[in-house]
Amino acid sequence: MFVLRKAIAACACLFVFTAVSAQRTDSTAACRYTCSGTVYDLDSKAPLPLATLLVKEAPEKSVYADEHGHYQLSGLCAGKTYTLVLRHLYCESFSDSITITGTLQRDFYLPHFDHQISEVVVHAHSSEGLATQARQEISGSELQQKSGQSLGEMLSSKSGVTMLQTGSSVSKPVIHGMHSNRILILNNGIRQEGQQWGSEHAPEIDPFIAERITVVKGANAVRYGSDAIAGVVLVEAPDLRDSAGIGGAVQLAGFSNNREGNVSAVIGQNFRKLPALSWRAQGTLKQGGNYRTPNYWLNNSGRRENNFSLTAGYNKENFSLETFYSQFNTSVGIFSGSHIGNLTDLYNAFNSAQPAEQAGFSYTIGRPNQEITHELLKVKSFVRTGKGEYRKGKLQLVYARQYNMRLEYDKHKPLNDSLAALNLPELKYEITTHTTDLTWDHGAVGRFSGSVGMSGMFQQNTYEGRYFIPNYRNKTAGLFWIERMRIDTALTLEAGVRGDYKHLQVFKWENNVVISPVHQFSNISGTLGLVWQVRDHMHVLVNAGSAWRAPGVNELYSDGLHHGAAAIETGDRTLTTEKAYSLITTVNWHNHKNLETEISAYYMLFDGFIYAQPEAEPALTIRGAFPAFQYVQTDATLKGVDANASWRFTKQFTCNVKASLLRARNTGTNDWLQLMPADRIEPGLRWKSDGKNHFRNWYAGTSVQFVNKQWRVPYNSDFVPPPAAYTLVNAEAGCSLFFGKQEIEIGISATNLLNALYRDYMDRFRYYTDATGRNIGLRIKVPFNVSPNSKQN
Amino acid sequence: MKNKTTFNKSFFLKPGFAIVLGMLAISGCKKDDDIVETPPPVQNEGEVITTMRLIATDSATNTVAGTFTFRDPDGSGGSGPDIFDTIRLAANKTYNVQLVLLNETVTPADSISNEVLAEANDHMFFFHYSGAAITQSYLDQDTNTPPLGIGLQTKWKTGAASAGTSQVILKHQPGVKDGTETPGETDIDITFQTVIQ
Repeated sequence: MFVLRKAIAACACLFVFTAVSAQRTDSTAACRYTCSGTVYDLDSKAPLPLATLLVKEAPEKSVYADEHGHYQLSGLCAGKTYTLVLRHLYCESFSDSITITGTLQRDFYLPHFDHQISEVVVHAHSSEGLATQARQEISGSELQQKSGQSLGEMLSSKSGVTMLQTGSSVSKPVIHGMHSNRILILNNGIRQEGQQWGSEHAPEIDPFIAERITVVKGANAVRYGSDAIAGVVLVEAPDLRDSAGIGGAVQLAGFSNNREGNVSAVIGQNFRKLPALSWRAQGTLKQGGNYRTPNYWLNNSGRRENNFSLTAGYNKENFSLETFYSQFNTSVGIFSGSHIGNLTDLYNAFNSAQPAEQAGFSYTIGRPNQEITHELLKVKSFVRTGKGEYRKGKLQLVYARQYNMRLEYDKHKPLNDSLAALNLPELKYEITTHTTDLTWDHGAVGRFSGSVGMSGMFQQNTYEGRYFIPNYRNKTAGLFWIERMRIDTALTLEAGVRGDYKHLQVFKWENNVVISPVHQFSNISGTLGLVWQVRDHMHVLVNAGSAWRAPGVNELYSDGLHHGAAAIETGDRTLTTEKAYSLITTVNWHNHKNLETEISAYYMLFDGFIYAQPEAEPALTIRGAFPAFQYVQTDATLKGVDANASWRFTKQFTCNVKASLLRARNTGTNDWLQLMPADRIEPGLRWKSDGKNHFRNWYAGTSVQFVNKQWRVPYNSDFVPPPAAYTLVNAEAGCSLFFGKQEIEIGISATNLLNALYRDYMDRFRYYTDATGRNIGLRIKVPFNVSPNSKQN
Repeated sequence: MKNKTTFNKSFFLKPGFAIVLGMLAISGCKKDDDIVETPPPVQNEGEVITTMRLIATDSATNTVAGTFTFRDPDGSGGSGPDIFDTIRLAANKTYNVQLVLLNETVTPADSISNEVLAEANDHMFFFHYSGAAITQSYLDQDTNTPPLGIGLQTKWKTGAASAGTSQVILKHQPGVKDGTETPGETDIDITFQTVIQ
């Protein structure tokens, strides 16, 4: 009854617009901008078909959204502010203003009549970053359907994004085959700085904090600085509540495989008497026990997490001050069978049908384990600059401090009783990072819009225990300028340039004296891109960009047995900057009705790609001979395609398919690059209720994920051959139920529904165990809202 | 860029913005307590075994017939072993072999074999010979029921003159020691060249 049938909607909504929607070409150059996006149902987060968008100042520009909620306003004039009135048969109409500074993308969420919510939620796409790069996001109901998963697991549902795992409890995102130091994660706008170089170091972020998680693909150093080589992950918390009242939600998520429970709650308030002031508190508790493969339990594979965040903000139209604090604490058990003494042990583990250490279910986390704390304190402020309503710029200053502590415990305590009694971690890292960013988005100036900014970072790392990376102090400074130019209605160009400097000083004991060598790196990056609205139904994004990163401290200074990896890794202190150049082209086509496709093709060229090259001779140690790896630089190329297509073949059924292909070559040795995700394709089918009566927001879907065997691996660089191809079946279903006025969202999901036996090439534990079996998840979300204006039913 | 946007002159006076600027100034100038000038000395470097010595005593004469050493002074990684002896024993004799493990990264050197002995119920040495005519038996026992060998004290009987290798393996088998080599993890795995002459 709430989601419309086309015919009803057409009658009810469109009486005004048929008359006025005739397009009129505006002859002035400045009036060639578009604003496009999607209109959503606030409750279901589903696209709302056939809403009307009335432009008050220029009624002839009014349009209505299509069946998928897509709309596009065109012929908008630069620098002008328009008032949009959105109307829909079953929704409250509301108005919002947009200021045109370039091509805008903006989504609207319409509340239902029956919900008695007096405020209107307007949600505009963050303008962060470049407009010409391919991006994919998880938000709204999709985010809700993935709640309880780790950041890596969530993102791996997007084409071109996979995950690098160390068993089931440690996962990190991989974009176009690149991870760790080659992608950048921005947690609420702040570069996440921990020990991200380690493949078994998962990002210390609570996804429950996010309203939207976005992957921006391609080299993106200009806006974000070093490390954004293959892409950027943006984890964005929602804006503070801007209407008087208290609101929030409680979310529960439970999983069958490891009997994991998640509780997350958020509450926010805005004051009627002081409407600029708002606050929000959020917290998450998570506990999971041992995971189970189809045939056996994995001893000591549980995890625990407790996280919270607090935000307070004072937001006026021309000024804003916001503080944010978050803390992330986790204990992760490392499957005990992965802790091996030497290569013989690794082969024994690989060849045995079951792990040597049998286990049942338990929530206990023992050695080996990781204990991690991550703190973030952020203060953000902006002021509007410039005179005149339409030409306002924004000057923003952000300061953040992060502290990350990582404790790693070996499987066994020291033999020495007095040492063992201390129960110290075998490895302890502490890293503190201060970052400052000053950015000025200048208002529209003629056809131009853009921003300039500078950023600085100061960082200090210390360790105790076993040596793997040394202590160091790191200072960086960067300066960037990005401009966007509107050529005509259909074409926007974007260009940017950035300079960076990094000063790294290492402190290390060597032959009983402390040495403190200094490494300095500097680099210029650039980007050039375009957005081309080829036709009404098709647009093209092209972006060419460069990015760089300084060699990681592990790549410069590691020297020794990599804990658990059964390999001796040796750094090289003479490594230089790794540079990457990427070209990424995205073509999006939709027929405004029931077909939509998006294809991204990318090509990436590396100059000085750093990797661990196997040495001819194994290294002899008291534990036996180990394969030895030396960090070297080479040239490399990556090319690939990400594709998504969906076809709504009846009102309720949609089928979709997503696929990713990647070819990664080491052109220096004319061989493949190791640890690259295999080709994959995932067709799916989804049913969504037609919105009548009690069946509002009911959905069900299934997908079949086929991952090919990665046979493109370099010669002589792995202990065992890559695992076979595998197929997983996943399914999900959900609905919204109403108890009186109280809505409850319920979702159920199943991963590896058929309990398939498989191992994934990108999971380091493939040497030791099968991947986890069937996992059924149940999710419940209870939103609440107390608004002083909504007293009547 | 003709129509350059003009700044609102009072924006630096906005109180909140000034607060943030002030904080930055303070954090920029203040010597941060997080910062350590130089790294602290390694406090709890895990136990490193740098050295294994096999001291062979002729059981008939009770005199030391030879000491055979493997030593990797900087532990795993870095430089390789600086001493890696060939085991040379006379043919058709019986030797009592004492096994000594040392951590020579500290001064004085730390005896790891004493630690192994203290945890004898969780540790066991295994010996494999290839080409060299040697048979080995255990002279020491732990306190498991039934008692199992440890291998810090062993008896080696040599046969005819021959050449080959002797492999010494130490397994850490907490709670799973059963006298076989299968369970647990490998702490030591060294293969000495061996000549029986």
